[in-house]
Amino acid sequence: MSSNTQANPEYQLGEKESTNYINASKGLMSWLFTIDHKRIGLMYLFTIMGTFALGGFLALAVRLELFTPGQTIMGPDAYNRVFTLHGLVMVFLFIIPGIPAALGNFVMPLMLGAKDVAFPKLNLASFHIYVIGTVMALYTTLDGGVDTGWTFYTPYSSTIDSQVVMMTMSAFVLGFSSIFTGLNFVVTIHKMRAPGMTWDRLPLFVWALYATAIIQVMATPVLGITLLLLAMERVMGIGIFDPALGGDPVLFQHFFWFYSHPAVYIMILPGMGVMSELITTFSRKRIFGYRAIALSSIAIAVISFLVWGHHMFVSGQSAYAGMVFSFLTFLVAIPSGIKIINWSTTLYKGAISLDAPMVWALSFLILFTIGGLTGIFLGALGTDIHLHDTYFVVAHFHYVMMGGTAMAFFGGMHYWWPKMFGKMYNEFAARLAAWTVFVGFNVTFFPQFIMGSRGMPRRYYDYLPESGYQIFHQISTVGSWILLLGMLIMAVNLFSSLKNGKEASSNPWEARSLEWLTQSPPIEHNFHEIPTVVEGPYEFPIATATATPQGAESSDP
Amino acid sequence: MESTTQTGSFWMPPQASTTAAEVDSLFDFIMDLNYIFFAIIFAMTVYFVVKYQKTDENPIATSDLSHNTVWEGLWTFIPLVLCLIVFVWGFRVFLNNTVAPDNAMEINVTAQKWSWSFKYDDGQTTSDLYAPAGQPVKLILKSKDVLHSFYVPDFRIKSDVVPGRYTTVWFEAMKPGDHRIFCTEYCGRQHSGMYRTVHVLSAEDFAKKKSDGFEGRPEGQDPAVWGKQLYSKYGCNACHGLEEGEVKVGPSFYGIYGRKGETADGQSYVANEEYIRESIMEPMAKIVKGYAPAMPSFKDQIGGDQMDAIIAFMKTLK
Amino acid sequence: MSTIITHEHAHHFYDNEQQASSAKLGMWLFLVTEVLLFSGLFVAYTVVKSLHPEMWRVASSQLDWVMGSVNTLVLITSSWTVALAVRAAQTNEKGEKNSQIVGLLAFTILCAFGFLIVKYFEYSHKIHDGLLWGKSYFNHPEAIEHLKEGIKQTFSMDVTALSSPEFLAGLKAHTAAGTHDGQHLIHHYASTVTYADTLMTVEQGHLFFGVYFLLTGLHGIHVVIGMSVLAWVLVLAQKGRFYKDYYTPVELGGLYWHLVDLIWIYLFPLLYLV
Ligand code: HEA
Ligand code: HEA
Ligand code: HEC
Ligand code: CUA
Ligand SMILES: [Cu+2]
Repeated sequence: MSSNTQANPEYQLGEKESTNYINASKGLMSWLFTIDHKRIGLMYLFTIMGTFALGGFLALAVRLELFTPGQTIMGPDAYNRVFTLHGLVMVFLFIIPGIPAALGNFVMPLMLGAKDVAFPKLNLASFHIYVIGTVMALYTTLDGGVDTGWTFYTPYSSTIDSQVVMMTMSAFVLGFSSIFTGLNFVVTIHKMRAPGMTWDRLPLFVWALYATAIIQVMATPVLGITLLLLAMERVMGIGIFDPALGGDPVLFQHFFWFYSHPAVYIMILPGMGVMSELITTFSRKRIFGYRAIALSSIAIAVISFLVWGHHMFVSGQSAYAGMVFSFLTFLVAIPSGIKIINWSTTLYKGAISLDAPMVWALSFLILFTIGGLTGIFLGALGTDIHLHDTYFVVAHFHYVMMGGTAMAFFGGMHYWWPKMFGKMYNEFAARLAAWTVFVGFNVTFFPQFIMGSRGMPRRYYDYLPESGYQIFHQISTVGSWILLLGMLIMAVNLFSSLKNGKEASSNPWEARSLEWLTQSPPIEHNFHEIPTVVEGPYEFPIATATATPQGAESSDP
Repeated sequence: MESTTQTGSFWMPPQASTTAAEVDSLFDFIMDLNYIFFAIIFAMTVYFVVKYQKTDENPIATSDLSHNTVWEGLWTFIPLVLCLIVFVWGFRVFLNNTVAPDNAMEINVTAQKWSWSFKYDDGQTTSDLYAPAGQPVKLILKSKDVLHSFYVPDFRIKSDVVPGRYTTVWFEAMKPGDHRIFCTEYCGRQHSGMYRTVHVLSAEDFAKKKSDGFEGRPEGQDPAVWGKQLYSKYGCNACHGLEEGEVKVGPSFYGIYGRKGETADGQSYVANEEYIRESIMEPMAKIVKGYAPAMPSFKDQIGGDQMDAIIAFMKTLK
Repeated sequence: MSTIITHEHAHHFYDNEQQASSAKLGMWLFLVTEVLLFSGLFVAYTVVKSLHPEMWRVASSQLDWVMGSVNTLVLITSSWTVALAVRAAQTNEKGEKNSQIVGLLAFTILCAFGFLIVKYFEYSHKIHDGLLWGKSYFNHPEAIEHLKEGIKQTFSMDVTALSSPEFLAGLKAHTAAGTHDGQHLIHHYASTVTYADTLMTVEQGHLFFGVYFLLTGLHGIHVVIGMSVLAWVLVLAQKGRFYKDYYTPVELGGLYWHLVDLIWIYLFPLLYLV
């Protein structure tokens, strides 16, 4: 293992205490009803790993079914339910809460130098609501499931005979969890910063969470009302989405995407925040363009509300609307581009080490670039007509969601794992897992671009053997097995580290933000005394650097 | 039908309509941008990672560069300009692709779970699309039930089909040949089975075939055999099996002719010619007990000859 | 300070001031989400109205603007009294205004009750007349009679043809079959354009009432929630919890109630008067 995992003597601030937030109190109840943001973060983390595994196994089933034309392992009804559930689980149970609720909850108050989030009880309530929503979704699945696709388009969803009401209510409930987390974070970031923690000294992860939280607060209620309207459509026959009753089926799409487009930035912004932390720490260098990265998060958050119509270019909306939405879509691509280039510039003249979190971060950089650039084909009206609802779109969004956000999630998880548990995992296995996932990911999803632009539609249970798509499907399916292998290595490595891992020091990566000031795992109230911050979060040692994270003074352990 | 997607370029299926080339050149332009930007970022990343490895000689960063307004302005401005180019280009291609020329031949298209029907100006309907080469064709799309989407990859055209309103799409095929039609809006169980074919014919062939009837019973063919073809053409096979006791969405056709049954409201019936005809034209009139009222009406599609052929085919199933 | 219990801030805040301002910011954000929740319904309102403007005029004339006005007055009054309650808490030096706070809150809750009672009468009226949403509307022929009356008055035109048993039977068959061919009925029965429009109006009246019940129903739920919140604040006030350095719950409860009121101020003209 490289030298950076050893404790740097400079950072050792006194003796480590034997009580920490994990062993401070015992018993299941002390976890389920805790109001400690760190424990809540951990509970989220484990639940979300579970939902990701579930979503992943559903994806493996999808891929296996498509290995051969015709029926491979299941019939069309089962297939339609499986891909719908895969989308729903991955979006609502994994990726939206993923980084903010699990990693953000744990790290963000530490980064601010606060003792907790502003509303700890609300935080706990968010978690409970999340669990209730999850249970509802799983129950619905056992009770017949839904086959509408994760987009719930009417009139299919309002007329078909399946558990749509229950599933929409589950998403409705999950929405509240998301709103409460967002609200809590905005207030926390405004009000709970330690002395000296000015806005331009906030770690970029916090900036990203802030932008995310704003979208969560502003967009999710619209999803709530949309799903409520859909439920009412089914229960009461209101008819506003039903052409037979005088309503407008396309209206639903507007409602849905008004939430779900900003939601894709709820998914990616926290990942971008994690990226900024990883890139700087592992190149031991100040971030390039702090302000541009921070403000581009806010720009993305604002513009993201105005582009929803790019999912509807062929829905029959007017050419004028299409033009406006296309234009705004391109505007929103620019701030993402700024971030990407600034990250690669940060590497310049750094001292780079390829520890596991950095491997994940570099994967993000490469894969998100591909995913984002292919978004340009979709934002351009002329090409989207051809590509809409083909596997090209499927490949695009897996490159940004799995290749982007999920990579950042895993990177962040490896990065903060020592802080969370006070244990180091096996570095070799961790790197191996990351590389395997990188390879498996590309094998799975790159062929989907090709077959997509050659016309393979999405949400297809079957394809014709003579159509020439089969070879791409088969490569893709094999890729999903490589992915599985990588994920298994990662899971085994992380879990076994809890038992057998080496003790982690308070700052194994020699990072500069405040969460590394307290011991690993942190004490119950984070800091004995609120630290005073005197400099930015990325002041890595070149000649003049100060010794402690953000130059903070504190009488900590 | 021969495959349509094995030829074409690496990325794209063959170009079979007059507008396909335009779409493809935009696609190629964006692809080039993609290659360039990807190459820049990939090269930068890999180069820096290799060059600035943390080693004993290079233990800490050798620069604390925090920003550079000129460079940052540059990589905001250049992508912005490129994006605007792509935007304008994309919009123009879109307009060409959606606004049909005035002299276009109109064909009405109806989508329903899970089949298409095409109605020509002389009133005949077909389940595959027939179109002349070298002549713009405008399709007026409507749906009887849920959303569908009309997609011909080789023509680079696509439009959602929305219940309660009309949408349009147009193309001009360049030469005779067959091309695949897909449904690309999720519409349930047989969404992936809702594919049909566009048969592009030379103008003369088109006129001749049209006056003969595009999908009339081929000379000398047994009506029952033709009926079986219609069974899959109209998508009956999506919901009705042919094996004894096979239940899909609807009951099996095995032994249907003369079968006794009961409706949901408790009346009994015998499946004679009249009943079968009614089941196909007005499926809601009598619902077979134990099944959902899920069958669409084929009133505008299945004509007299075809109805006879389907019934003839049913009679053979025992 | 002897008559009141001083408030201790929670462990993770530095002081009362930080806690109070956090709570206030949180509340404002929450109100934003509430507004956005309703805004979805307002969009639905706008879209349906622009799709069927005639129908909208006819159907909204079926609402009782007198009752609506009474309720508006009731809510405005309650907003005023809750504001007074907040004021009283802010200036509560030594606990001498406790009973005043309690009284004002009680009056506010009473107003809310009054609002619900009026709403109850309105709803039962609509239910009695069959002026309901979706399928329930079609199951009530009397609803159609009411709309025809409305058409007569709004456009001063003859609607006797709409009473033909043929038409009513057709309407019923149409809904029973649940077919998705919306134009079906009109093509079948209508010969002239105006006739078709009228038919359309009668057929689509349910959309207005659907939106009406959704908007007022969701608002009604908020009234009930607001009442419970205020009742809880009242109990705390009774215990003498609030004084000039600690009155966050009164203030937040008041804010919430103002929002409930404000939404009604929009609903009233949009539904009853437009
Ligand atoms: C994490 C989630 C995420 C993110 C971040 C994005 C980012 C983007 N998306 Fe994506 N998208 C989805 C998730 C996401 N998307 C999902 C889930 C769907 C499908 C939903 C469904 O139908 O089920 C979808 C679908 C989708 C569509 C609709 C396609 C269709 O159905 O027809 C479009 C169309 O415009 C689009 C565009 C974009 C663009 C332009 C970006 C941009 O933000 C990308 C910006 C990034 C870059 C451009 C790369 C880096 C930049 C540079 C290196 C600088 C140089 C750049 C230029 C010169 C341009 N996306
Ligand atoms: C975050 C979002 C996300 C993620 C990560 C994924 C991940 C994957 N997706 Fe997903 N996908 C969606 C979101 C996502 N997907 C959405 C929104 C849709 C659209 C649905 C719709 O059309 O309605 C979709 C649709 C979709 C399709 C198209 C279906 C169709 O249109 O017919 C396909 C097909 O290949 C697919 C495949 C995969 C694969 C192989 C993975 C792989 O990357 C999965 C790899 C994961 C594993 C193999 C799990 C292994 C896990 C463990 C072993 C345990 C690990 C333990 C710990 C983490 C501790 N997905
Ligand atoms: C979307 C699914 C669907 C399609 C497509 C479909 N049907 Fe049906 N069909 C049903 C269902 C469900 C029933 C049973 C309920 C009913 O009677 O309507 C049924 C019933 C029938 C019956 C009566 C069966 C009996 O046992 O009495 C006949 C005959 C029939 N269909 C013929 C056809 C023909 C011919 C076609 C194609 C031209 C066709 N159907 C296409 C769903 C479908
Ligand atoms: Cu029709 Cu999909
Ligand atoms: Cu989008």
